Amino acid sequence: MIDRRSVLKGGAAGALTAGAAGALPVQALSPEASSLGLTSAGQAAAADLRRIPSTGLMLPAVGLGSWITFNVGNDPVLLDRSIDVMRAFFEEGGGMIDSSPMYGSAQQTIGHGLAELGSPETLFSADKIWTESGGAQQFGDTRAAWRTDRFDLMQVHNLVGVEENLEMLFARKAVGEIGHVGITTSHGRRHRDFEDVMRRHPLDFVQLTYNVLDRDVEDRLLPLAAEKGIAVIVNRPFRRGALIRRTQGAPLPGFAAELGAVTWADLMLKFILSNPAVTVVIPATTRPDHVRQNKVAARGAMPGPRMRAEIARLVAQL
Amino acid sequence: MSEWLDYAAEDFLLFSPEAYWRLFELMNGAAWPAQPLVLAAFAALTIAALLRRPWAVWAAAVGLALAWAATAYLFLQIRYQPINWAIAGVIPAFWVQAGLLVLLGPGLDHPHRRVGLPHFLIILALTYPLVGMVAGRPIVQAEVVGLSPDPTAILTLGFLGLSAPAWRARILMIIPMGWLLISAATLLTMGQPTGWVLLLSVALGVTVICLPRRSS
Repeated sequence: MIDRRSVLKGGAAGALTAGAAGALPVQALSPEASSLGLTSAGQAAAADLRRIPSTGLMLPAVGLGSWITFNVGNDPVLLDRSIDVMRAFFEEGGGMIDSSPMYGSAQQTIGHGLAELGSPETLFSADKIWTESGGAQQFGDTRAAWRTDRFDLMQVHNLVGVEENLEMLFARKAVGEIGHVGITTSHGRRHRDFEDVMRRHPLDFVQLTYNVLDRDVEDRLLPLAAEKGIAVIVNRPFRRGALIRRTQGAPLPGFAAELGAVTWADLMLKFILSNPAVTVVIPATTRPDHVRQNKVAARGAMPGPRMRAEIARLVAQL
Repeated sequence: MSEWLDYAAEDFLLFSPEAYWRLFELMNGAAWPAQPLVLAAFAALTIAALLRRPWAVWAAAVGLALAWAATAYLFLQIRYQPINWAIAGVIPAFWVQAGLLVLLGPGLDHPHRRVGLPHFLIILALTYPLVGMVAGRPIVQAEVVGLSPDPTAILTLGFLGLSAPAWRARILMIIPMGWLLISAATLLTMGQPTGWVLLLSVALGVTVICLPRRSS
């Protein structure tokens, strides 16, 4: 297991390589890599750990979302299963777990799981403020749910009350209650407003929807994030499971083996992670084996531009 | 609150079908053996209605008031609200419905003697566990009238379809129909075909309560 010092403080040599690669725009891939359809070894390593531009901390490239999957109420069976998912996540190196007050009981489930697992060192805690007013109260409620005093990242959910909430979050960051500040959107909503906030505020993170079929962010938001040194979290990598269902039973393309991909999910994660602007992808799952598989997907070779285009084309045709 | 306009229906689906159906499994385990007792009580009231006992409808109304109150607490508040914050806004409506049934129920009469659509709704509500089984869910996740909101609302519409005066029935149908529409939207968004059963129940409820009817 990678410990917090080497992962989050940027001490590992591979991690430094990762940080450098992470700053490359897509167009900068070498002709050789393009002709092979693969990234270089250094860029392959980059997929595993990524650098947060504003603070230099290193972060595993595959995090864990909690939308729907961790909203299990007081169900003891599903709570135990959620703990199993978190345990597998930390056994594979841990990293970002992301939640929101909007996600029902997901925050409480995470808090319960962290307590059961002894608050693992490799956790990068990420949550959101989702209220027009009363953000400070909600921040307190979220801390209570997670059973923690400090968050590594706090984001304004879907730009709700964005100016007021960002002011509150930057103040909390200044006193050390928050490590990073960000904003989120999903499903392609309000990209113009999102871009405006990115330009006006010193954000550490943005979270947005990006997958093989939802690629609007490639035009403006991802390049802007790279230009301004903002880390990017990708949500809904599988369109809430719809892309998994869409590709079910379809034969994998021959080049999947070259990438070490054994499922379409692997290929679709590699598609996302091979965009150098992306810092973390946060698939949600109820299965520990899927957590492990998602982590593996970040460790192999990454597709180059031609393979990326081919992956997107094949999925669109299914 | 222009932000709300950005959301699609699926954005408010916060839980998986598995987590939702497990709520009924947990509640059924905790409430056992209330289920057969409640079903037996409402079956007896149905038979009384078929036998044209004059007290059957208002007795059913009082029983339904208890059913709405029990559903509000045992299912919505204890089980459902933890995974669906929007339910906090629905729970008061269930208590209001219980209160309305107590207030208006004793004034209901039962002028209808033919077996018809209201009886179909009642039978559907009492056999609702079979709907879940046909849909592939285990019996332990059965939705039972008096504990679960969908069959409770359907049963209410059935008894209201038997009752008069119409103005009381039309007031008492508002919340059950509202719930059934919300629940149908939830189930259909989850990809659960039983949502269509709820929409059918609403259509039948409108037919038997709102359309002009003849006493025989």
